[in-house]
Amino acid sequence: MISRREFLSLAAAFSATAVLPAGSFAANKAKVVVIGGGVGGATFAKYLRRKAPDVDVTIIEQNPIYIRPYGSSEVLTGHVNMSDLEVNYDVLRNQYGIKVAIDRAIGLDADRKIIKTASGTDYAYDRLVVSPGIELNYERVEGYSKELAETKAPSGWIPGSQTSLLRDQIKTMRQGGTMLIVAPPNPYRCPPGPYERGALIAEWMQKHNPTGKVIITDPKDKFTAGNNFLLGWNRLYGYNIPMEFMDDMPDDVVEHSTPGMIDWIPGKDGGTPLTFDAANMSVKTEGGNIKADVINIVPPMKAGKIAQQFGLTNEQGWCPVNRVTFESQKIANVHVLGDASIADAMPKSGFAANTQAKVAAYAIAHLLAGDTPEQSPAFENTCYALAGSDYGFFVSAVYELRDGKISKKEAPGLQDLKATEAQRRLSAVYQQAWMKSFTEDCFA
Amino acid sequence: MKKVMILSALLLSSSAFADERAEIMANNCAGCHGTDGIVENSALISIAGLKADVFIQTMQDFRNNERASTIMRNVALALSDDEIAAMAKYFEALPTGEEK
Amino acid sequence: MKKLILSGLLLVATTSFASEQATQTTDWTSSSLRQAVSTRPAGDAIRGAKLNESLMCSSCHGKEGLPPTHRWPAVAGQLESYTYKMLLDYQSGARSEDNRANIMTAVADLMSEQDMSDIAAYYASLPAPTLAQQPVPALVTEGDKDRLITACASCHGLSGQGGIKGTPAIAGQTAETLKRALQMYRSGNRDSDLYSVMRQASQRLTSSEIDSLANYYSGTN
Repeated sequence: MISRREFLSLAAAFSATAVLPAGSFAANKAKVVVIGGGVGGATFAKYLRRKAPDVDVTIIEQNPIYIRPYGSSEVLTGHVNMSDLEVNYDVLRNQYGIKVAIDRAIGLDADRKIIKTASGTDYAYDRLVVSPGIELNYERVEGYSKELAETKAPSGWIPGSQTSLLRDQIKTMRQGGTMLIVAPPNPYRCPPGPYERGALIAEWMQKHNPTGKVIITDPKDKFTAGNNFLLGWNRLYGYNIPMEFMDDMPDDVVEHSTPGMIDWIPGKDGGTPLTFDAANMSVKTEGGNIKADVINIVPPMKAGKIAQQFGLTNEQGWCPVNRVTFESQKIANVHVLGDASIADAMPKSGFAANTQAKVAAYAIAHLLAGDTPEQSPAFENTCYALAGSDYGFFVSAVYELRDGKISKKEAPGLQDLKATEAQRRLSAVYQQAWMKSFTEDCFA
Repeated sequence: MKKVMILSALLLSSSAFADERAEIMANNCAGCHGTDGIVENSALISIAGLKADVFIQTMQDFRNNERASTIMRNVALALSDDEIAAMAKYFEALPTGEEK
Repeated sequence: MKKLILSGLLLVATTSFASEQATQTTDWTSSSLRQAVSTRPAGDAIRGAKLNESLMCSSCHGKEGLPPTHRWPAVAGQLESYTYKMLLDYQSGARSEDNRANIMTAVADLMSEQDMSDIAAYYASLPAPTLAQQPVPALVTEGDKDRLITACASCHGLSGQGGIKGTPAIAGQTAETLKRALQMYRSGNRDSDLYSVMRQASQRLTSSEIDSLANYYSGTN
């Protein structure tokens, strides 16, 4: 092990922060290991190093390049390329002095506080942060499997080869064909995502497959920013809004005489998916059989596999945590961030993971220094969503702790249905701007 | 990196972790307005170095629709006057960096 | 969407984002510009005031044309012809120097020529900021003959009131927006100026000269 003084002079070459006095930290540097270099893990590592520059931070991540999931549906319409989703770890390494090990965690010794990896390395930690994202439960849709998702009916919910496959299937779909999106039950990553995806594909079809159709079948009866989506679909794709959603809708909503390009079948109308028939390319729902040319199944989810392996999950597959420090309620000195954690009122979104990561970073800086974290942290979530390239809206909320739970502060949480055309256009501009600013805040 | 150093120096010069809640709240803005309130070449604006009274006035104007916005009205309505004042003070003290 | 330029490629991280090229109109000539401006519909300032609200212009440029923060330009007292030209340039994508322009492009895209003319008339009807009494940099009054820099005042006026050869009023802009404009012209990213006049003038300016000019023209009473 190098001495503290050697570390300082070495680190100074990279980062001016490291030359700052070490405050109350002991001469032996505290070690924090982060499993998962996604939004939660990367943001956590960056903000911990900013707050506590002499803590040794190592991210263990399987992939040298991160493929951002937010905005990845834009690949399906050719608005961005797969390579546009790629983010590297250079700035975290070079500017913040974070070690990024491309490796896979395979074992946890919680008593000795050691992580074992596939490469045979042991990483000792004072605090372990697990930010594993989600695992897709393909098998929970009968007849569906990971293999079928890779070859026949992609989910594309974790971006990668399934995303490209889905894009190619949409592109080559016959004129007048049907794309079926199977929406997942709550809770799941990116609540507006399936509906935004449907809208963007409908917009693409208007140009490239004008007799094509998008059907979204859903086990749920309502969804995030639902009214904004239904209104946008009505304005853009000839969707007819069901009566029960007509309250507060603006005056320009029209009843279209011919069926539109997009249809949504909620659970109460038989939308709940039951089985996937790969041979016939159809999905049996409670309401009947839906045959389609392209089938995109977003399966139910649970916490990323490593969280399950380490025993951090509850019976539902998610990780219960302390809401101030995000320390696991199952294993001491292990913290869980982002989609995998149970964060009460907060959605499973990148923005949520980013603000949780910052709160956890500050809390862990205090814990390592032997003092008490801020007991009333604040979180935020903002999700811009598109009903079309020029038609944006959002959900937004600020959260605080109330009775030990993360609760939404009282305020409107959605774009007003009466929003002007200028507001919708600007929300779409900000949606694109956010892709860049958010990625920078997490990774640069 | 310079800005990080100045920021850290500021923090160390005051009592350690003082006003941390304001900083935690301010960090929530960074996803759009940039780490330390600086975002470059963006439709979203940098808010580092904004005068506290301008920050407070802006948030009040968003709240009561004096200034039209997209998400900012909702955010301003969710924050208390005290929280806005604390964040205003925090952002005012941040260096503006080199605007690009 | 076509006109949205997202030059996220400049990111520190090697993330890249959608980057579709703008549809740039052909460069202005003085006759094509004169034609476009002189044949515009007559502007209605009262209607323009309403559009200033409903199109959200006022959120950044102020209800009375003065921006609530120093990040955005003042438009009060601006020449009608200049505001009109800028809106045309944003709508066509000719002004797309950075990602800020995406906001203006999205809004200008919602406007008819009548809307643009009305907004231009409204801004022109508002009182322009006036410059404070202060020492005048030599570049303003004399330029620099050795470096072939024309005096700013010869086009923008000694008090920055504009109007000579169609130039904009610049008095009372915030220093930040003046600097940004000069830097963007100097880098060539902003390139919708007639005959490259500003691109050429700014090329010969040092950064400290840009600062000093920005400070001069932003100094108001």
